[in-house]
Amino acid sequence: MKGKKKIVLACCFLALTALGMSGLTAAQQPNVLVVALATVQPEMTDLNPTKMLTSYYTALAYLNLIGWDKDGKVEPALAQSWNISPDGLTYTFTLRDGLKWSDGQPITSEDVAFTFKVFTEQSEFWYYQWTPIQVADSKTITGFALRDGAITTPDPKTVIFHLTAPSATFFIYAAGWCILPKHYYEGMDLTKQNPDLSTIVASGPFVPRQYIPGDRLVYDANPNYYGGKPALDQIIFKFYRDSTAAEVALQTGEVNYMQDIPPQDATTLRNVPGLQVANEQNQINIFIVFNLYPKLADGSANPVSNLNVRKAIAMSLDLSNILNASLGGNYKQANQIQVPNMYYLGKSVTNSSIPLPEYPYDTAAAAKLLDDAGYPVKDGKRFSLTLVMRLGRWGTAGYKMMQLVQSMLKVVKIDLQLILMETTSAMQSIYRAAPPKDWNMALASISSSPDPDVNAYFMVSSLAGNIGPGGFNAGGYDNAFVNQLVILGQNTTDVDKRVAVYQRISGIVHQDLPVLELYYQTEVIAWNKKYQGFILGLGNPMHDYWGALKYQSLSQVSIVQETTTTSETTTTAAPTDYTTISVVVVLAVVVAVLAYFMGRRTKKAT
Amino acid sequence: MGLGSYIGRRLTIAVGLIFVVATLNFAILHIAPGGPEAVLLQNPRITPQARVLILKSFGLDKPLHEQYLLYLKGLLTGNWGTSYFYLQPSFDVIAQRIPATLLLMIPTLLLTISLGVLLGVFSSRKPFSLLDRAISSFAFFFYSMPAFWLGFVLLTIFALFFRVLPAGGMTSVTATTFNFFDYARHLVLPMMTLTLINVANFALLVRSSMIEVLDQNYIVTARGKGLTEQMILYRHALRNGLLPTVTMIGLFVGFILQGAMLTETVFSWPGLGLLTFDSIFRRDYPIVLSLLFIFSTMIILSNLITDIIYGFLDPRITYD
Repeated sequence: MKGKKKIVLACCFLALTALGMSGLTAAQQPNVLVVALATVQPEMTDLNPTKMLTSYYTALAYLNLIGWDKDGKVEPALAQSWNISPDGLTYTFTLRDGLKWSDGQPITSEDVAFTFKVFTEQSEFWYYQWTPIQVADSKTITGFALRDGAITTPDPKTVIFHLTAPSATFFIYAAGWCILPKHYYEGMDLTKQNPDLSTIVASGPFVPRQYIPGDRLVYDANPNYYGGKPALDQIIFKFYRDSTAAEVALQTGEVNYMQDIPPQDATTLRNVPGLQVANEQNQINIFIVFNLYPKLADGSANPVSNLNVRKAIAMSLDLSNILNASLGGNYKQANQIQVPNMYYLGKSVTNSSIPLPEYPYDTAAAAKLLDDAGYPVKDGKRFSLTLVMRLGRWGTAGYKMMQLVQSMLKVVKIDLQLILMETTSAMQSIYRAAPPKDWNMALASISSSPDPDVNAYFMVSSLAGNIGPGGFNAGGYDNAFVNQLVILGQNTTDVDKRVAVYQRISGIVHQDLPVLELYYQTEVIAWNKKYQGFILGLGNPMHDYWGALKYQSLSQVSIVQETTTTSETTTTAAPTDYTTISVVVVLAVVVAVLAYFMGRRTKKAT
Repeated sequence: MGLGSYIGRRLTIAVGLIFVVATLNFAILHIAPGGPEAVLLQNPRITPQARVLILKSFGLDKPLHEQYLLYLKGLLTGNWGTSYFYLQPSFDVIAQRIPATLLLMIPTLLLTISLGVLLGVFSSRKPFSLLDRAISSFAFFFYSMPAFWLGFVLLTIFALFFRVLPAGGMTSVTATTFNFFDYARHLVLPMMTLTLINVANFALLVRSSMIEVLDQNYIVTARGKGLTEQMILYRHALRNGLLPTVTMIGLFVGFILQGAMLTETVFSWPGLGLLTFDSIFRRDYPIVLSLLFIFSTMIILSNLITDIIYGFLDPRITYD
């Protein structure tokens, strides 16, 4: 090989080596946790708490009056204690001593009062949660304002809510809401502007400091967090549009923590040295909703409006095998609308009399039910059904699950057509289209709340337009007695009596089968073993993203200081020396160019 | 007709075309099932009264024809609406993403054209030789691959197996200051994906064009004069062989935008492609309509510019 070519090749090799070397070291500063956000829509964060309450953003930045322990039971947060008057009209919260915002200003009862005023008057997304302390006001964007005297603050540590009528849901919705700093947001019109992250103040363990759209959201540790300054200096949320890229980043060490990993990838990640993989149930309930209208939108008869047909469908499905095959053990089989790991003020609302599975797997009995319902087999099938599901929401596991449902229904001669739609089209078809709908079944989910009213009200009541266009009760289940029970539940403040109401609702729903419960979601979570201190379990069920992690534990997460290396552990690598690499690459390019021109001159001379 | 008249006529047509495309974009977006309310209002806890308020705050309660007129007026006055999700003017949201897209598109364009031309020239030297067949096979192989699939393959090979390149993003997660090589490292995979898929267009076009040119009498004359093969190829043949490539560049702007959408999704590159992808699914009408307007204008104008440049490059072309 000629001399000139050798030099050029050597320089190119040097340059590539330098470029590649920069990838061999983990480019991370110490004490930083990088969290991959893949399935959560990262862009739904204009960082304006009155608009879209993006969970990871607010949960880390703004604390509530109360929190939840890892078992989903209420515990003090900003409030150290509270009292509800026997008539249910007065709620008194006492704040902890010495609370401070991240800028050192004290957190007082004035901040609490201000918060509810802001959300009532400026947030069309959230104002309706606190009607007992509101009055109509046409001057605000929401049409409501805080009633005079609804919130009193006799001293900086005490805040008192005065309700016009008892409300069983008020405690959770008020005490579980993020408290905003008055001195920061006062005077800001949040209907028109977003907070400035460079100056924002927070009460949580971390303060949002930088947001690069589509790329990352950076939090700095809050030295004034009441639980003590976090061990980590920063948490960085790195946005990935696809979970595959996020998982690759997790394996290479570019990110250190990831939730909501597709269940089918759990096994692969478990075999990666240095990664800890865990499962934890969150608060999401996945179910099939039946269209209960007698006819579809095209006028054709709707077989699933018949209870026996619905029961037959339930009995045709070997749910545990379907779920195992598609989710690989990352699930908890469901049998009722209330999620078992959600507790209402320490009490379980699950109805233990409902069997698991809800209906036994028995294809012979299912076939008989269908025959008795007037759907015998003709030309190899009884009838055709459609099932709508959202593309991407359930991943390949969800699609596989429905394919298995399709196969099992074939056994009883029901022909099921799966209709996959992208999110907006699916939402339109399932929820926003006026009844009767154009589908027989739909795959749906609901993120439960620590107040049992949510699942009961939205899944199975027909109150206040809940079965009309936009209503969550998409199947049109309309049971007057269930409606009465839901209203009773909203107005019963006695905890035991309230729990009994919701257990009764679950029992009725099990009998009527407007929805077929599939499973309660179990999240697959993975993190780099060099980090310790994560506590799994329902952390803050008001904020969905952290459903399977007690997010407050992030304040205690730290990096393990390794003294020995094993095949299973990873060490904190030195930061990449970009300066040296830059110099090497530039030198390599310069030498290559010089060699080329020297070679040309030599050739011309000869 | 002189150049000035030609440009004037083409610009007039371009304006009309842009108007038609803008109208079609509006119509198609609103015909598509579902709307922003399906995403904005997916929280079931939002009451019916609140839903009305939310839709009103975004102007979605207005009749469609009124929304269309407001949209046209906005295009003309530079007010492209406010994003439903960012709560910022669409123009600002898009402007934030433009640098990332330019950073991906310009190097890709340059590399694709350079590599494509080089491969095309090498191929054309000895048609149907082993080298020619290898280059054509290489080109077709990558041309037939879906962009997102190729992206995942490269990600797996270089980021996961060899760990020499990052898994996504535009900079290292903890980068606090600008570093050229950090950007360069992150650029490699998305750029490689787009280049490999699109290089075939140029390689095959240049190849066939060069084969035709190399058959011309003046090339035979040049050989007869004793010029080196290198000089014949690059000094005499390539200038004429590149003419169809100029046209291709105008079309390529559209291809690369389309490819960028998928590539940016795979590599989480925070550019316009990713913004388009997300905004379409969210039905963020102001953003989608603004982006479609920008893209369609870019494609129409780039084709116009290409046609004009073509006239300068080829004296046989007249502006009639």
